[in-house]
Amino acid sequence: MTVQNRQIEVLRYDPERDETPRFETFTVPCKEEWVVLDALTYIKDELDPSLTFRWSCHMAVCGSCGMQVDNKPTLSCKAFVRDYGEKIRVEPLANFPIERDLVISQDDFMEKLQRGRPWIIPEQKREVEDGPYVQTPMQLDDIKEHTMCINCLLCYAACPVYALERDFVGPAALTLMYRYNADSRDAGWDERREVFAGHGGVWECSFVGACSDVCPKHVEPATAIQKGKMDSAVDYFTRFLMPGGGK
Amino acid sequence: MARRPYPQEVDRFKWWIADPHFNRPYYLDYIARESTCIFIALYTILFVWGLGALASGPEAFAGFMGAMQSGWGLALQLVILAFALYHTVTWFMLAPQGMKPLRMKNGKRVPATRVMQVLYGAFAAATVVTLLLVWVLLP
Ligand code: FES
Repeated sequence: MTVQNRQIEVLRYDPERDETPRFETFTVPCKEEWVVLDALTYIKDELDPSLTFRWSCHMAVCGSCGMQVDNKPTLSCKAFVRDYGEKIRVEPLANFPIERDLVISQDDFMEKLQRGRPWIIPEQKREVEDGPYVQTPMQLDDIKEHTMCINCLLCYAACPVYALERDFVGPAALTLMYRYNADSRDAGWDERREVFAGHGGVWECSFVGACSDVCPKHVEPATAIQKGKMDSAVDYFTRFLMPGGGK
Repeated sequence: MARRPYPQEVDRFKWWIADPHFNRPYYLDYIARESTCIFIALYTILFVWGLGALASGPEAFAGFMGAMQSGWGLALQLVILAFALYHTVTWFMLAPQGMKPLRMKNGKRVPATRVMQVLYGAFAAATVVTLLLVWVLLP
């Protein structure tokens, strides 16, 4: 088993002591099969127990371990150290306030996610005895990729619109809203319209496309948002131009 | 323990230079794609100028044509053409990513490459028709 020393340069921030974040470099004997998260765990176990970072599954499922690795939003449990250089720079996800070290504050996202009502709002509520809401495989396939989000927030760290316009609901939350709007069992468009297509909604997006690039689950947020713009345009014209508001 | 989150801000004007290492320079690509629309606008202005000249009589129109056929006029149009092509191609590349999936008869999604083929096909057809019209109509 080959072990190679690597310099892990970590952005540190202690809210009780530091005015501003600062870099600290650790020399870590990395095994060949290690991911960046393993190197951080080594630092915490062997070098500095105060290093703070989030993780849970270690298998790219839970979405907790997002960080900037060499300046790119990445799941640190999916980033093999052997794919990087001698020196690896690890920072908290961009665009979010730093809570401590590599931990960012998710408050803004959580609030926006909730406002989006990301659940099925059926036309007619079914009781348990009515059985489940059914959907054909083809209807599912229409939205399949957009249902795979693990809320890791890499897309927010990649999005220059979110960086500049803090009211922007953002890639993951809008994608989830689109996913429900486009779900064959859902009738919640009107309830979501304000958040989805109003100020801060899909029209804020200028289609840079970096969100889809960094997404570890190929959720294609950029595509979901452009499709959402189409739906919003159709909705606008049917409401204002058709007699009876298109109803 | 009081929370004291440290805000991470980006520079309002320089954000696209500090491009993170994505698989492509997304921010730069984006700026290039969007800013080349200026050249489309420029050509529209030339076009409107030409129409105006045409409306105000043969002399004015000859003047406009002379300007367009001068060395500078040709160079300007070539530059505009190059950037307009860049603008068009980059949008074509984005098109499959920005639309709802089209379905084939068997229910499978139409692949992105097919969408691009149709776009380039339509582009080529429009170009041929335009050139034919020019060829037929010009004395
Ligand atoms: S630890 Fe769960 S996604 Fe990385």
